[in-house]
Amino acid sequence: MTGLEERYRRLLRLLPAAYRARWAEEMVDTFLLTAMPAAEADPDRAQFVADFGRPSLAEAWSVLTLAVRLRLGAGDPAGQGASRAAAYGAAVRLVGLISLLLLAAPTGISVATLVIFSRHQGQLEYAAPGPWWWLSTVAGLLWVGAYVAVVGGSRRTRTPLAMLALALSTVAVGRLILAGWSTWPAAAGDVAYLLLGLVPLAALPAFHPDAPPVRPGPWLAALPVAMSAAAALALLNAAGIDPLLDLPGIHDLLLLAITAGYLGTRRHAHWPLALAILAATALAVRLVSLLSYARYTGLHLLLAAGITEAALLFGALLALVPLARRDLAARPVTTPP
Amino acid sequence: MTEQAFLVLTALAEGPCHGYGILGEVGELSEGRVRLKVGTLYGVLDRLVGEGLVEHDREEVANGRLRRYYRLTGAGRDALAEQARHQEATARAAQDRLRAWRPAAGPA
Repeated sequence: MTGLEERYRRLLRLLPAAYRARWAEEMVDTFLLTAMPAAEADPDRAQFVADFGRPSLAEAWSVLTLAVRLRLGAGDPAGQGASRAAAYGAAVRLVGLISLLLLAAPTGISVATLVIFSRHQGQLEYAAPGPWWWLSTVAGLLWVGAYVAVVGGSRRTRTPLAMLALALSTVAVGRLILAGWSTWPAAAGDVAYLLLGLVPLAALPAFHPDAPPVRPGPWLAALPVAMSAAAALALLNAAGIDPLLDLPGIHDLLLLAITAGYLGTRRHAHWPLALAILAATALAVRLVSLLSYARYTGLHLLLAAGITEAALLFGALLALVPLARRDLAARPVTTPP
Repeated sequence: MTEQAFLVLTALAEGPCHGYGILGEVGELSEGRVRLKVGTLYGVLDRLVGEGLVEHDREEVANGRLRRYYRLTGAGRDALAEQARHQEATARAAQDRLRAWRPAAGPA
């Protein structure tokens, strides 16, 4: 075996074993034919490539994306979503949709803020939104755009929109920290919330061309509902003296509402896995932010609400994990060819 | 049907072919626009075999390696014919509109 072949075979180890058993030998043969120059024309060069050649980045990328797709159910056309890989794929797509919906929801708060400001313009207690507020709002609108792109099946725009949204959110949080408005450890909570933006980005590859299209109707209808709910929850802060809900808090309450809605109906088998992934991520972010808030005085309400949210998320996990495990155990690892 | 699947089926419409041959055919058919990587090709082939549009034809030994050939199934031929009709109709509509197209009159 030449060095080039060995390196390509090593790359193929990324693929699921069942797929490899069926296709690996052919893939190696085809790859070597594409990669090796004709030995008759230039024997020295052919020997050099055989000894020291490597799969190109583009080849490695094609194998890597194939491996991810197969593990998310792309090789399951006949199984119609019955295999475990297909369940992972459906769950990861759901994680992508719900996490984008929850990141888009706070735009409702921005809309409400603008409405309140326009009605009370000129009154001293309502300061005009500044440039950094607008930056956060634009980031929120980009999350809305990424959500609509995923729901509408627009493969070209969704990733750049989500990346730009995350980049702008990072700039906004970074500026808070640099300006000293959000100091460590309080900044840990802001940074942890930022990490929630990585969740949809990690889930986007599951929307591969073989995946069933998203049903746009219910998901588009969910957007104004989530935005209104976020705005209504943010109003709770305006009612009291101390803040009660931060952005992770609003995120968690919306997620808990979706989970409660699911547990009430239990219609779709892949939902518990998706909701469990989201609840675990939200719980981690909540705990990091609570640890940082605990060092400050005057945040009693925020802390109490945060601890309640964390407890509810933990309770949701206890309900969801057994359901997810039962669904996965009932499925074959892959469907027979 | 994705463009990649359409091109692979079109490559096999001429007769049974192995993976490397399909890569070359796809490059020629698309006039060099589509250069499938090996990982991509075998993702598409796996799906087409799974959907019953392509099947195993025969095996040959070349340079000490087993080379597998694939061919279109009846269902694959029908799917390709339908997709080709669909694309032809779209292309015809575009041509008709282009023939009727007149540049908008600019300001005088």
